[in-house]
Amino acid sequence: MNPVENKKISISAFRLAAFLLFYIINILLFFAFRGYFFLLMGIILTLLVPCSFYMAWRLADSIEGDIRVTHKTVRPEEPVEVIVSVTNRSLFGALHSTWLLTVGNSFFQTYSDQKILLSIPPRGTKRFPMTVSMTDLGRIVFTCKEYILADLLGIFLIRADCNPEECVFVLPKREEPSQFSLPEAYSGAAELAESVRKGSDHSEVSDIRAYVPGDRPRDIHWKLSARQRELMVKERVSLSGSEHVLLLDLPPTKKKVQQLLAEGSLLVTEMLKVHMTVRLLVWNQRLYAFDSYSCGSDEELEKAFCEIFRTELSARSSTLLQSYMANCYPQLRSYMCLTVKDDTIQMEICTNG
Amino acid sequence: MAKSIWKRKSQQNIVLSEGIILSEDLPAYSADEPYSRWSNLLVRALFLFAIVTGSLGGMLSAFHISYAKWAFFLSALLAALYCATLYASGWWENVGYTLIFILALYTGLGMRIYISSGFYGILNDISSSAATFFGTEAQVNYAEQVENHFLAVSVAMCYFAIVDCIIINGLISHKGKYYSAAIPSVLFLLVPIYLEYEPAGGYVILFTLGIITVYIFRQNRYQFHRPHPKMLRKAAQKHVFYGNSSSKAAMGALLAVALLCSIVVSVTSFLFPRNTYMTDRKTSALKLQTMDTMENFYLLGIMGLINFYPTTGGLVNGRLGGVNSVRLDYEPDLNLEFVPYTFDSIYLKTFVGAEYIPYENHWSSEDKTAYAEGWEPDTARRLKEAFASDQDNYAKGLMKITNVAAVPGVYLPYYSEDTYKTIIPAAQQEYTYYPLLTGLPAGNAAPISSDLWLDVPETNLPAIADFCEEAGLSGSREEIIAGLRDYFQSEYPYTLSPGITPRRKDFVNYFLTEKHKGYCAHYASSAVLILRYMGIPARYVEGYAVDAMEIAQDAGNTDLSISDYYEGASLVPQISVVSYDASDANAHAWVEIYDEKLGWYPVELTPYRTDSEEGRTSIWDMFARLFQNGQDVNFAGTTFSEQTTETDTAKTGGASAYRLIFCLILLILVIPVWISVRKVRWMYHYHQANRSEKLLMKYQDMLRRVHVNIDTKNLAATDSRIRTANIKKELYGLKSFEEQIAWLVAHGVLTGETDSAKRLVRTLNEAAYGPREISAEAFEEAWARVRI
Repeated sequence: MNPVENKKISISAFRLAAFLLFYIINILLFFAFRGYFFLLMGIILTLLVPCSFYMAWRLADSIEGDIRVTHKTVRPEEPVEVIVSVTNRSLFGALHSTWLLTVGNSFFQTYSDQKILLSIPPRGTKRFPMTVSMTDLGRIVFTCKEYILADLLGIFLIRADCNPEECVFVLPKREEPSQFSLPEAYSGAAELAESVRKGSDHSEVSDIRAYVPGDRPRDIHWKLSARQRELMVKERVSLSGSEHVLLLDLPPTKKKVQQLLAEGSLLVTEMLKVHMTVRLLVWNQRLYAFDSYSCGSDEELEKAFCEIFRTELSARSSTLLQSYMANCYPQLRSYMCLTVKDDTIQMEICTNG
Repeated sequence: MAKSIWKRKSQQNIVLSEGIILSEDLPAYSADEPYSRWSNLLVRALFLFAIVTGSLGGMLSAFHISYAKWAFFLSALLAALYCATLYASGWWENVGYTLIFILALYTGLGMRIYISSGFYGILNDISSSAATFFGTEAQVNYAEQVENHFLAVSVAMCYFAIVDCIIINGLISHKGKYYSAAIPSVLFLLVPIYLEYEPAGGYVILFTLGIITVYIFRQNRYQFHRPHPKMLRKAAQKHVFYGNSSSKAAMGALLAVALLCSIVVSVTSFLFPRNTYMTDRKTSALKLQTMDTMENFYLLGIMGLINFYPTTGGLVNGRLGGVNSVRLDYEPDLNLEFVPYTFDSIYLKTFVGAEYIPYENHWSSEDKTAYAEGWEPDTARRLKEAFASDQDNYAKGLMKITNVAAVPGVYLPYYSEDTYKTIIPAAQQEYTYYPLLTGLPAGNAAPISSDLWLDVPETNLPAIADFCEEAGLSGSREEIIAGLRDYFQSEYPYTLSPGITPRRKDFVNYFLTEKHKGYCAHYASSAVLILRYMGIPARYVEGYAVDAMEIAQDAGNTDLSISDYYEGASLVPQISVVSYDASDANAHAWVEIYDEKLGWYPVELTPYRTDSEEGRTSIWDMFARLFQNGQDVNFAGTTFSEQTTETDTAKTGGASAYRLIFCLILLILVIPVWISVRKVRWMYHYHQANRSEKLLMKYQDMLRRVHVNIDTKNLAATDSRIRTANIKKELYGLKSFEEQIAWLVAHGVLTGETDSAKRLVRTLNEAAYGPREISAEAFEEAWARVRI
């Protein structure tokens, strides 16, 4: 048994008054009738209070709350099942318990509290499934803050903290084509990447290492592998130079942020299709630096968005961001920037510095 | 239009938070307890069964009525199961109720002979117990049509179990109204408990189990069935979600309460058996006060609780038998100004009854002869003459009587010639009277019509003859009067709630042979007929009687000259002219007896009041008595003839234990109430306050409780107290927020970064001394910090 620390007890004044009324009526009836029956009833009612409290107190030490979600990442409007479950190891159950949940989007910092009223069976698990869907992008967090157990009489309310948390990342949709075509400045890089995809290898081998799952079969050094009886792969350096930098200049309005992120995602997806590697940059106000995510595949793109959604939305003016870029990446000549101008999302090729 | 708006609303998605919606209509009930719905209904059926069998069965067990218990329990269980299933779905509730009503009606009609006979059988058994308790010979009996008492009672109990299940189930309804179930059910048990019969332990367990579980389910808002979707949707829109109820939890609660009830009843019955309690227990004050009323109710039903005409202290010019209970207002009826002259009561005669009319139950004085002889002033004239010649032994008085609120009439003191002086309301009359003090006046009294004053109606003769024989009345006039007085005192207790005389019964006969209780009119009326039967001319008189002790206590002295009000001999020292307000509590009926030498003179035959009749008091008087430490309560409204006997010291001493228990319980109850009131007050002020004030209140609250959070668990109790006191002293000695926060951080009460502590200090300073309310963000941050 793992006793819950920081249990707090409060008294429901209304229910206490109701019980006292019940109790006083019994006392009055006892004095009025001097009946043995009312004496017994009085003793039962008197003992019921500590018994009821004891049961709730023991129960508070023996329950565990948990939250589970069926999918960790979803697209907007895709359903996901959230299951709040309570496991009770004690012999005592509770007819009434309140579970205080906070549900919200940690990226946009929008939260709201929910209450789930459950009765808890003795030595059993109680589940409360909710199917939800999200319309906003971001990281949706389901946190159980505390639970309140009522004793049998409902007089004593035992509060205890609990901290199960579960989150779901709502990532941008990927089916639609991007409204932006790749700029001409990047077309050469795209062609190079395309030729690489078709088999013309313009890269140089920089190192040979052991195979790890995920390596391309075409990079396997077959001869060396045969000699060493172990799969070896060639580590290449791309001739196309460094990754293409895409700065996401997030605006302060939620709607525009979502549109921009969606466009960014589509644009990167298209670039990935032509085997371009993209480095996403997002300003992080908390760290006062750019968060940088390299995306060479769809999985990496998803990971990048998940990481972006982990932090709070930090909006900065475009001018400031450009100066930050010049300071943070002085060697970078130019970069792509997705920004909001004149209330529309635009892609710009920015010259650094 | 409204409907379409509702439809649109009901179709709206439930938004959990911004951008997060419930994709289904409402969270589905979990499938971890597929049998939950039916097992919940089983729990409901069980406590319904417990209430019904506990109350009905408990009542019959108290009276030791035998019947087929297995059939009763079986029918109660089946009915409870059926009734519980009525809540399985909406349509079945309507159809099921209709079906069971039809079934109950059909069965009731089909087996009406058995049911009514069984019902009468139960009533007869209860009536027999009630008659024993009330000590009355009058007993209500109903004719049982079925000879087999056991069978009839068994059938009736089965039927009542079904009907009671339907009623209680309906009363509890969806919302689990425990008081609706408790109030009618406990009434079944109150009947035997009032009559000092106790239900058997098993039924006590069942009843308490039923009521307490309904109470518990109600207080926990336990949902026995899925709430209506509209209700769920409404709650969900407010971000409140109901999970389906766990029948295992409900069953667990039921078992826990059953276990507790069983243990308590078993242990208490073992340590303090029911029979011991019943032998030792004292009759409660409430019972003493209501016993007569309850007896009247038992004998006469609801009609026994009604007064059929207004009276003054239960009297109204010779009308008898229509007063259930004498209700006194203690407001002045007459104001008397006179000089006290005797230690005996002073009577003021206003009605003389000559002829008793049986069954019509009243005294008549319509006869001219009776009226003339009833008011004849012969004795007064003789005493007047005696006073004129011998002022040392005789006296002359003047009594000024003001009619404050009494009925118009003559209020004649003994003995006066002013028989014509009627006093209308708000008027005053002066009566000259010649009291009989020591010696009789010379000569004989005027002769009377013997036929009139010795008349006893034939209807009353058998009852009176039996009474005289039982009382052993014989001998001289004085012996008969003394014997009658003693017999009344010992066998016919006084009561202010005698109950009405039932229709088609004679007032005197009913009093003498059945009721055996009454107030002055009962004794005076019966005594007149008894004395006449014994050959003593007697008549019934009504008026006011003022006791010398009451005059001494309540009358006010005046500055009036004594010589204007009284001359001649006196049995008491002459101090002053007194003014006394006679109320309806002084209204009285007495007997006048004719003596050949003296004429008519008053005789008191109403017995003294005993402890069992302690006047009419409210329930608050009963509680007041609990705190009077053995002193007898002075109940107003007792007349001379109705005084209490000495206080029973043993009884008041016995109340001290109850007093102690009562005080302890009161103390136990006061503490949580006091704490709750303080908490509610704090919460009220908190919700009224602005952000700055809220933060400071919360901070103060945190400081008050800070010693709890500092580890004193491992210390001994004394050390812990010293530690707590030291902590408080140390903390409260710090005069600025900076110092306090630093102290709290140093003692580990507040944790976190130094910056956040500094921010907290800054926010607290702003809240306390700043010109404006603190910002919401600052409040949120600081509030989170001070919330231990």
